[in-house]
Amino acid sequence: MNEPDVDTLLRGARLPQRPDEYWDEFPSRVIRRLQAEKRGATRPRPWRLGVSLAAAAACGLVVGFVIWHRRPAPGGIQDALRDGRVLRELQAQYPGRLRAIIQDEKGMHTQLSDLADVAASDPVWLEIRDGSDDRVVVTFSGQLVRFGSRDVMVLSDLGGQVMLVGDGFFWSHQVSTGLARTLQIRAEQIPSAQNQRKPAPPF
Amino acid sequence: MVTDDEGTLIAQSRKGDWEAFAALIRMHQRMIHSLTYRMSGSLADAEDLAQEAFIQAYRSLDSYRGAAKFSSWLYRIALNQCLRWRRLERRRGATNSEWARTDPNDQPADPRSESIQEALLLLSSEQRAAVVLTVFDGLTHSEAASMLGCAEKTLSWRLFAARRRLAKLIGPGDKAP
Repeated sequence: MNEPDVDTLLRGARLPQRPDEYWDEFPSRVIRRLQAEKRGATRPRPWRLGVSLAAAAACGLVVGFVIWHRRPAPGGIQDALRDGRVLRELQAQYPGRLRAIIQDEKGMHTQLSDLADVAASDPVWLEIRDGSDDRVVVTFSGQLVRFGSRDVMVLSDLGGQVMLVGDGFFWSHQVSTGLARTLQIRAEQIPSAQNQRKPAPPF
Repeated sequence: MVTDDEGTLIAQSRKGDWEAFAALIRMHQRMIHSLTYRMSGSLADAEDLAQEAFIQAYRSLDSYRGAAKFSSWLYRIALNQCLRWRRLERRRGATNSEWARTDPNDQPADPRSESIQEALLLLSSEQRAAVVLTVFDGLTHSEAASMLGCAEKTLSWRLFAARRRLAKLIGPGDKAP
């Protein structure tokens, strides 16, 4: 087969068709992402910046104190994140305000809500690896986690299965699509303190 | 290098007019999707890559000086996204053909087109880009080489190697890739 034959065959390959609605909606999807990005990047007012810095410093001190006080064995921090011990300590410090605990290359830090309005839902442990930005996140079902430039919602069901759902992003233990497939993700529900004290009856 | 309408839309987009940028996306979305699908072989990944390309373009609008056609500038951004994505994917060690088969959102065009797309995915990303740019999108060797940042000779060699491999993969008898 010569070059023109190969080119003719290639040019004969059709692209899969997308419905008209897809083309109508695609620009809006991009614009929504850009708007969300812009909102996220809005600089806080100077007084807010001061308050945020003070809060961040306080959080850092608390987390540092908790970690120092507990003096976990090497690797123990990971275990303490995974089994919910760090979560429970910080929940006690910030009732209804803790959105997430993140451990990345900068160390451990927290995301707090200004008000005590974080719904009491199932806690979830996530490990996300993409080769350059590896992190562990402890958060709650219904909270948003940032993946690159997009927000992804963490959801867990009654059976303890975790799903990550966002625009062009889906991950579960069985299936992953979109950007999720470029990441190595592990996720599991953290047993709540209540469950630990009183194990569920066997079925 | 840009049409009056396009120039106006670019200027308005720079000022933060979302409608204007949406209009620019509408003008070029099919071209960009075509490139990202040919490079990724998956509808879901093609959409992701196209979104990333337009977002990157919006962020870089101020750097667009009008020396090249806006569509070429956009195309280059999308191509870079595809090549970057391929490097990341290669690092993870998965294969696109597996992805294409396991993606529940993918609607294959037809068996022949699908087997050609699968054969394309077996090329290196550089070879595939050379084929997509010249054979599908009609760029000259010189334009494609400039777009890929390589010498024209290098591009010609990649094309030669790619065609030879494709001839074996999709030639008479339609051998499975």
